[in-house]
Amino acid sequence: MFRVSDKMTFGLMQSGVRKTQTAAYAAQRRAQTGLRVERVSDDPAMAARSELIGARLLRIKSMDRVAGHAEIALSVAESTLGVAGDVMVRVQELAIQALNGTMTSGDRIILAREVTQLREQMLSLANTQNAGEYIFGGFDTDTQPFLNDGSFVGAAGERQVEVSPGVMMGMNVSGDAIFGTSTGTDVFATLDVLISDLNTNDEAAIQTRLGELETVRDQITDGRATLGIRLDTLGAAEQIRIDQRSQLETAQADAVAMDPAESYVDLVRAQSALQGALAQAQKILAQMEQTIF
Amino acid sequence: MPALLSSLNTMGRAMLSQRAGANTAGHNIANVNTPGFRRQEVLLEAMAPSPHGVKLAGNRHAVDDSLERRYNTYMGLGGYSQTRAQHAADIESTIGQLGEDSIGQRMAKMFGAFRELTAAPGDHAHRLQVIQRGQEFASSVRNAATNLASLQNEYNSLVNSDVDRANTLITEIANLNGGIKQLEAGGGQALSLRDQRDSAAQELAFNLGARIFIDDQGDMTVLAGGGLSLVQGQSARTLLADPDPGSGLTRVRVSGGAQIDIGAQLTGGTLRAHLEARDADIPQRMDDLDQLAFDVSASINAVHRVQFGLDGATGRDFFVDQATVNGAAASFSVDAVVANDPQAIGAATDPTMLPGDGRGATNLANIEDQNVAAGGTISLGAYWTSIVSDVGTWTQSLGVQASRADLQLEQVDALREQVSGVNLEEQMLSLMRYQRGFEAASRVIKTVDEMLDTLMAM
Repeated sequence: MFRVSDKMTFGLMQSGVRKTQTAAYAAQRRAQTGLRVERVSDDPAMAARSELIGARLLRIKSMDRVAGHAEIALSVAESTLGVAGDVMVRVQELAIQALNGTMTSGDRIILAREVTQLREQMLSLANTQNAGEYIFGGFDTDTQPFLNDGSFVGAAGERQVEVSPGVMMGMNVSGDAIFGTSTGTDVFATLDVLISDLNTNDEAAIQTRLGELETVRDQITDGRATLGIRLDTLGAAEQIRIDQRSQLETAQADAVAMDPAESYVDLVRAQSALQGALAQAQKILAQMEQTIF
Repeated sequence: MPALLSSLNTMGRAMLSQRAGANTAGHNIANVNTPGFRRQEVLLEAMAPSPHGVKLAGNRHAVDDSLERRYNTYMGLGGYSQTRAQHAADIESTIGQLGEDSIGQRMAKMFGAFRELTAAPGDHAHRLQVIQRGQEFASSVRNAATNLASLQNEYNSLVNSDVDRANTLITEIANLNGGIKQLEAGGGQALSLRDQRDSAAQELAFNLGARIFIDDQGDMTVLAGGGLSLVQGQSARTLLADPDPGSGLTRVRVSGGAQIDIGAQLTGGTLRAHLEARDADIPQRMDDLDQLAFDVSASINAVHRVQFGLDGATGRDFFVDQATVNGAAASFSVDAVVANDPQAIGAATDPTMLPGDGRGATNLANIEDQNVAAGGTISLGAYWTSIVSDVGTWTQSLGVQASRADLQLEQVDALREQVSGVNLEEQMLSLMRYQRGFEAASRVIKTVDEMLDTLMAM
């Protein structure tokens, strides 16, 4: 026959209350933190997943910053080349003007002065700085890349940065490629020759220069277009990062977060279990009081 | 036919017997909440030859020895499982932390700093960030190592205090063996002493996983581990706790003769849990942490050393070079030269291309994706995540075992309570029963008394 001792009865009440209290506390914590998995042991597989996702989210964050730098650098370079293109247009106008039959040698000397000024402007454009860095110096961002004589003393090369997972982009263009001192046509040499031709009143030479000026202008325009394409790619990369981040954040929440509705229901259930245990204890105590004492 | 006077004796004895019954019921009621108390019942026997009334044949102790032994076994398992689970949770807190400040996330942030440096290799602020993130990561690793070490010390103290308590209990049991024998040799009963002895035995089981036997002399024999006897009759052996000459941590040996190291032979109890946590669990996690620190510094330094700082110098370490895996975590830190001078960070691969050459920074950042951990089989992030998830799984399963052990203990305890527990209603009814018996016996005495009066008046 089953005997029940007082210690058993009270023990049962106590353990019932204790267990429901523990469960209610845990449910409260989950509701408060919004986390289903607070410690690894709550769900080791999901915790591991969340950690790995966390690392990938951090990566996207640093790519955001890198891409931000790249965007500024490329925008500044692009608009600088826009101005450089306009300078070339003006030089071309002057060259055509110089071929007008009514021009005297004196007139041409005056034109030469303006072309000289435009050459100065081109030199300063080629030596543009953005936040203390020479943008067309390649790897050497500290030193002015173009000397007065138009020679390039920078360190040719493009800085490659990761703007979306696995996608690298050059965040600068080296001045020697645009202003033509390594490949293509040398801008400053061409302008220098034109100035000299104007000063010496050499019509035939000036005629020849026209073709060269066109080539130089195309070179600069092409350079600008390249930068424009890169800026577009940056825009696409940003969208990729946004999408990835959104997917990863959702995946992370699925792994470890508590659905608010679910956690509310959970909490209510745990608390009512606690109330139930306390009510039961009260009832048993009331019954005990009615004994033969 | 008995004389009237002898009837008085008989009924007197009856009254005493009923009163003893009431006393025993009162004793049980008084001890309803006493831990380890087992219910007593008076044994009343009819005296032979009849009609000589009732005699008190002693008290029955409501104890089931086989249940008591089973309970002890589960106490040993319970003490072991609960403690092991708690220690696992402690260890999980030191290295298994989740969230933004976890070791894994800080490592990822450090690689992020290298990555951001690629966009501005000459920039002071970006370089400072690299140093800062490197230092934050290193300090999280060192902290974890420190915490594991202090947990180990804590568990060592627990070993010491468990041994002290065990020795007290062992002595107590041996003394109680003597006390019980003495009392019962004189024909008395030593039920309270037996309760005390069983309580001590249970605590010793919880503590050491000790096994209990009652030998044919009625003495309690206590065995621990693989059959080492700690108490036999009235003689008790002592547990010695002294520092191991090699590790400096406490080793537990049994006194007498060969001084056997008992630590490895325990089959249960909190002491076994402390020793296992101290000697196996913590060292394993220390090794894992050391391996991470070693692999990080080795892989990053290998790349950094051949790269150039802004001053054009090369051959520098980024992290303090670790000679061995053992102890790498405790001394893991950013190299002092780099830490004090952001220009010293080797982010360039060509010293003629300074300051804009950030290809070195790219190389450093790419280490995050390379399999440089655990003998070159896995990436650093994946390695660390696998360690953390391992700790979590292990903690979880120990928690489950502890719950199961608790449940088993509860169930056996319930069975014991059924047999030995005090039920107040039951005792109140007993009280009333013996009270009526007492009243009835006194009524008989009154009747005999009247009969005697009648005789005298004749």
